[in-house]
Amino acid sequence: MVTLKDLATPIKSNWCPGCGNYGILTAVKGALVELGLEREQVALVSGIGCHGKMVNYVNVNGFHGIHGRVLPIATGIKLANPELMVIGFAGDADQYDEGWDHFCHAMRRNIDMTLIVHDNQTLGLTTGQTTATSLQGFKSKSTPFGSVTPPLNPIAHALVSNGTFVARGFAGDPRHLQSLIVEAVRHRGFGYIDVFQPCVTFNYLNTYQWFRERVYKLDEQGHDYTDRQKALEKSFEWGERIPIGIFYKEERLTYLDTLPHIKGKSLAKLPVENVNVVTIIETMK
Amino acid sequence: MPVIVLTDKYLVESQVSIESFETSRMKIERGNLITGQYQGTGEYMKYELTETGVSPRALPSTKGAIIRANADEYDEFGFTSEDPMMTVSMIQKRQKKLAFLAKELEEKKIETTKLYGPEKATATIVSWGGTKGPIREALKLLKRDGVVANYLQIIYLHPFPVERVKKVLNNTSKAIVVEHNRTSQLSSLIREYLLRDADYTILKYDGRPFSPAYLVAKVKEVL
Repeated sequence: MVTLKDLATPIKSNWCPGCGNYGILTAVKGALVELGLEREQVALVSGIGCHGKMVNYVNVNGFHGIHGRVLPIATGIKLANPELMVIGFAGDADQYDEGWDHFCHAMRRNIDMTLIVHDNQTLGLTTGQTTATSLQGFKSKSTPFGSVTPPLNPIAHALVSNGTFVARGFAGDPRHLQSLIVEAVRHRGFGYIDVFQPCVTFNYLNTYQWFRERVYKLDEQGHDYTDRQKALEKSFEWGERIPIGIFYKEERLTYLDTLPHIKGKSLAKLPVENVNVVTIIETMK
Repeated sequence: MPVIVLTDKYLVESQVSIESFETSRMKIERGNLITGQYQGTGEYMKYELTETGVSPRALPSTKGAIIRANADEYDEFGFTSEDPMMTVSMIQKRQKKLAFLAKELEEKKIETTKLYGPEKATATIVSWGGTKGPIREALKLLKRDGVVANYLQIIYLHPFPVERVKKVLNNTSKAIVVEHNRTSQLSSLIREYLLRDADYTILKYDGRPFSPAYLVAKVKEVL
């Protein structure tokens, strides 16, 4: 079983000091140790953005994809080799702008994997522009007079897209986030966590302090996460008080459960050296 | 080396019935693939710098091996690298793979081109890809009409089979490049590797495939 020491890599971080990504990295490593996995069992996929460097900082299998395409890659890995425990990392612009369509469809497909969105409400890597979750009025390099459009609500979208595990964490509370990641990985189906990840360099508005004054934990308020309608109501809570924790959770057949011909098989491990198509053709005659 | 198979609309939209044939003689060689457990000393290196440029390949979930596919440039472990020396090493590694492939094609006598018709001809059609069917049909019609033509199918465009193409083109009076594009990219390759031009090009870029009759008419036009 993996230890924190095994997960360390020799690569020096290039995230800014104080970046919310450190909280997520700590929580992810902690979760992998808590889950008692082996390094070879885990496949991480990251997209484009500061978060994309995650695969350099955790010493397990890692695949860095192109903008918005974390879910297609992660889905492919899971379908080819269900033995792998797949965790996708995406940014808010990465997932909610560029990869938005993949997001909704992954929810309803219910692939047995985990998606963690590093939601800093700005494009950090490209030095601060407005994204799909930037608040209305947010001033940035791309919206110098303030963003004119309201943000989209990824939690609500996940819920109406038939997501089976919908949660939100805060990078400023890695212990709580770690417990969410463990739950999401253990969940048989698509575990989705949106994470408030303060960008200390380019998001002057949604700071650690801004979130600390607002976030509260759903489970401490007796939220019933088996009730989708209640979860939807909670997903619209924004402003003075913002909920984190598990909004909704249900058990449903995963995508692979519905494919009996490949269920329980690892396609990546089937021999291809001596394939004889004739035997298949014979059965059709 | 990963292989991506590109095909074309003509092939994809074609339907043909064939007799069932034995496929067991076709072997899929997966190359330097680590099966079972990784036995090496030290951490597995997906991009290990080797003599041939080819690194031993492991699939994710291979016991003892961590696989990373990462960034525009990387070190031997697959970690992102911005070290200029590493960039040079990795570019050279990729070049070595092509040289190794060219050598292996030669040694294993793998067909990189295929010549249809007589060795010596008045006209040689040079082409690649899905144009093969109509060109072979056109050769029959040209022969019927008394035209001595042959067809050089280029199977490997990269590494370009320089010697083979040179030999065939030296044996013909007219090299006619047939392609489904506007700029005749194959002519550009021939110019790059053989330092000569194609004598004629027959190009079609209207989204429709060549027909044998069309090719026969065009070949006769340039003879």
